[in-house]
Amino acid sequence: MAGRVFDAQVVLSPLDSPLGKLLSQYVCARITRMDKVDIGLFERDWNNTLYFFMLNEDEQIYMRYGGRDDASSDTYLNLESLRLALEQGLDLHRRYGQGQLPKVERPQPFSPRQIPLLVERTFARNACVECHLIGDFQNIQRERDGTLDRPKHLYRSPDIKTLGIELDVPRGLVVKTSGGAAKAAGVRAGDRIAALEGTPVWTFGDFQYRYDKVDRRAKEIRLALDRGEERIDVTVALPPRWWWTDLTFRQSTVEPRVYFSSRELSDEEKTRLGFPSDGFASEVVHVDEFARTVKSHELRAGDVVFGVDGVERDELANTAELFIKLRKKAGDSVMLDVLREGKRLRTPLRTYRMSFRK
Amino acid sequence: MLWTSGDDGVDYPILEESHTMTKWLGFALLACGAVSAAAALAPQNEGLVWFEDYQEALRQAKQSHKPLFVEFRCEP
Repeated sequence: MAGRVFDAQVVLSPLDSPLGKLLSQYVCARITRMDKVDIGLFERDWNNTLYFFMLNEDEQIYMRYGGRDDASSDTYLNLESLRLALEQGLDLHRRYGQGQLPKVERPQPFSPRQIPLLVERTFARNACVECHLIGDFQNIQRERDGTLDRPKHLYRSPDIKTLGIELDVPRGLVVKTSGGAAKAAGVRAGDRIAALEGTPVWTFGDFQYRYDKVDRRAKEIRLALDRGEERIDVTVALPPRWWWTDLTFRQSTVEPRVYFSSRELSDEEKTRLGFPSDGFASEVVHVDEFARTVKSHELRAGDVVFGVDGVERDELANTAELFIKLRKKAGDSVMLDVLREGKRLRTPLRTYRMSFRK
Repeated sequence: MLWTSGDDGVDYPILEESHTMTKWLGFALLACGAVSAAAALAPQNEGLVWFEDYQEALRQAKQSHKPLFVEFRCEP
């Protein structure tokens, strides 16, 4: 059902409704086939089932609308915030016409037909070029070409909540609650996020798109906030792995599947068990049935995994599970260092690639 | 009212057929779900036109100088 109701509510908006009146001031297009789309211009996380752009006849993008978290593709879709975005888009269009907006260089055109694997597996079979297939095949192609940057290319929709920010979704980028790193930086409930790293943002879609462009090794980001009549600049310290999201919703990704899930031990637990606080030590909380069926590993719930092929810590990964996903290829076999019922042991694990549906 | 002749030689009102068709169309729309309904009903949404081709929409924007609102809907 992802996005279907929202899609219908937008497309079927009566002309005399507030949304219909705004939409009638735009030229509206609803694109369901991606084969002829310039994916250089309309670049985004391809696992959004519904996504919107507001732009002008010079193909200057005013804003994006959409974005998601790993729980749902609908979390940030809201008719009230869309109405606000459409109003803002009209204002930007007026300002553009009056020469008040700087012209931004148009992204280089890029056709789905420039992704060889997509041509081979989809175009050649006359199959529908679904949005997610663009992202999937881009990543497989990058992996083959040796250009795949996993934190950047696989974890494409970093979650604003990792900053401690819960948005008041109907009001766009207005902060509902502030905690964690955001609160420490001075972000308050009621603030409206106006810019990220100096780039204006109007919608959650804008924010997430820009947030995704932040270097995964960055330690902080700059936010501009509107607070009443004031514009305030704050610097937010990025928490470790701020970019991490659960990839499960992505049907086809290139990261190795390990068929277990784990939770990082707390510092206290690590110390008690004699592990370093920056090490991988993590407790297995779930073993997938698939692992038992194909005997890919013999981990049990409650095991503590603290090493992979002798490696116990990593610059980006905090658990063995994430280390394998970031540093190993699907199909690789590894040796895990495990603490089980007080005894240390080594046990093999074979990774798999999620097979493609198409 | 329009009439048509049946094989049995009896005349039947076409209106009855239309009602049946309408019922079937309504049922089909419901069965196809919201998205299909959206696609089918869009042209009947008086005045609000949704282009299916981006280049066509862009041409229209160049003519009218209106901004573009482009929705990408992935329908797996």
